[in-house]
Amino acid sequence: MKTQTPLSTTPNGFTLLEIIISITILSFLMLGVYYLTENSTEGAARVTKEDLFKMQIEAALNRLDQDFSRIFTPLYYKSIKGKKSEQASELESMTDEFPSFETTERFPALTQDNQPIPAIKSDSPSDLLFLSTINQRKIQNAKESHFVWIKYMLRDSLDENRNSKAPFELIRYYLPSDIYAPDFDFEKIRPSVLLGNIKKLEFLFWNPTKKTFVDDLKMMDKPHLIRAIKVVLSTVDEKNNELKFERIYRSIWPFFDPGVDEASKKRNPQDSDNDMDNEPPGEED
Amino acid sequence: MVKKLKNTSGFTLLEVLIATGIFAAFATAFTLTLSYNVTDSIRLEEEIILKELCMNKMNEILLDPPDLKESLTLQPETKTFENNDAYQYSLTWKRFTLPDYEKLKGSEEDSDDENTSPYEKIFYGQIKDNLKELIWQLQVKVQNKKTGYFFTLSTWVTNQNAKVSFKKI
Repeated sequence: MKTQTPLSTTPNGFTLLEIIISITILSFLMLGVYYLTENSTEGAARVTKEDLFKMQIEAALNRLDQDFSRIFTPLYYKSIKGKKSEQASELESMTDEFPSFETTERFPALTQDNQPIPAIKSDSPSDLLFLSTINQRKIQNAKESHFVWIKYMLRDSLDENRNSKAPFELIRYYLPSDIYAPDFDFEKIRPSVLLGNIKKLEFLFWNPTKKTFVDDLKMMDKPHLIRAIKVVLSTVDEKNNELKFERIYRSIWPFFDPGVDEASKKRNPQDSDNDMDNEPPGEED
Repeated sequence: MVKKLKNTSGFTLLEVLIATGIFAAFATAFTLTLSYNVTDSIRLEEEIILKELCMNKMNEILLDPPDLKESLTLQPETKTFENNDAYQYSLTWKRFTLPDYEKLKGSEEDSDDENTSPYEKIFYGQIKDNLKELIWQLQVKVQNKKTGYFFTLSTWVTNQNAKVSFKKI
């Protein structure tokens, strides 16, 4: 019978060859794992960076949406004052006891009952100035109300590494105090930058009679009353891909026809007493 | 030497299976984390586009509402966007209907009860008829034709042309 050598004494460790082979296999395996992790972290970083740019665009457009949805003008509930030739009715002469507002750059027109109508300006397709009611006082005794003048415009990006294909950035001026000052002076105010890498930005205005968006504010029948705007934005991302956005933003003020209202008041003058008791508009919230 | 090699048994099948199993789990975990980022990003992009189209459509309709009449409520119309072939939208219109007076009171047999004024029922009926004309509901659903992803928005639409009318009793 052959003698079985006990397990403990047999030198049954790995041979050098086995170790070398196993180490080589392991090293290939680890190399694979390394590339896998490298790829995934790189991918994650790249994706979040791309998404970040998209989120920035969303945030900027959202800000514009909020500002515009609260655009204010008394023309929502009063019609604009006509030419002098139009005879003032009894009702109008009653309200004339208020001192008449001198029209300024900021308030270029008046309503029938002498309320100042805020200007809406768009000197170039990419800038827009209007009076909004989104302001909230941050300091208790600040001389501010919920009214605020807001101006959006494009300027050449101050960033040194700016993309030559998309050299503009969107800035926003915010003037919550002294809203009745006679004119605008934007040079003293520091704007906030909302978005960079912009190739083109265009504001279009809703024309209710033509039922289309027009690019010129002066073409409108009522240039001080805008119900909706269309924003056409094109940006360029890091890989020089062009991204286009087209959004329609609407004023949330409910629809009301002051012409019909005033015509019915002329017919039934006694109804106008109730109107006087109404709280001043624009403070409903 | 030969004898020794014979003695040393290799890995059993079970051991090898376990080892490959662990490695497979490890590898899939990594590839999944990679692909999750990418799919999330694609989903986000898709959602932004869907929302943009949906809100624009909604705003367009609210700015220029169609003639609100019964035929709108019959069947939701599905159309493709003019400027974007890959997406379609469907508009569902519904009237605002209050429940019947008897249902609200919860008693059908007791309708002749002397406690309830007959005027109450008539007034309620008139309010119901007016609201039916004045208030409408609109749902806009935008869908990607290929992937089937969709986004919906609903709102109330007031009929600008409707006039409130109360009949004399």
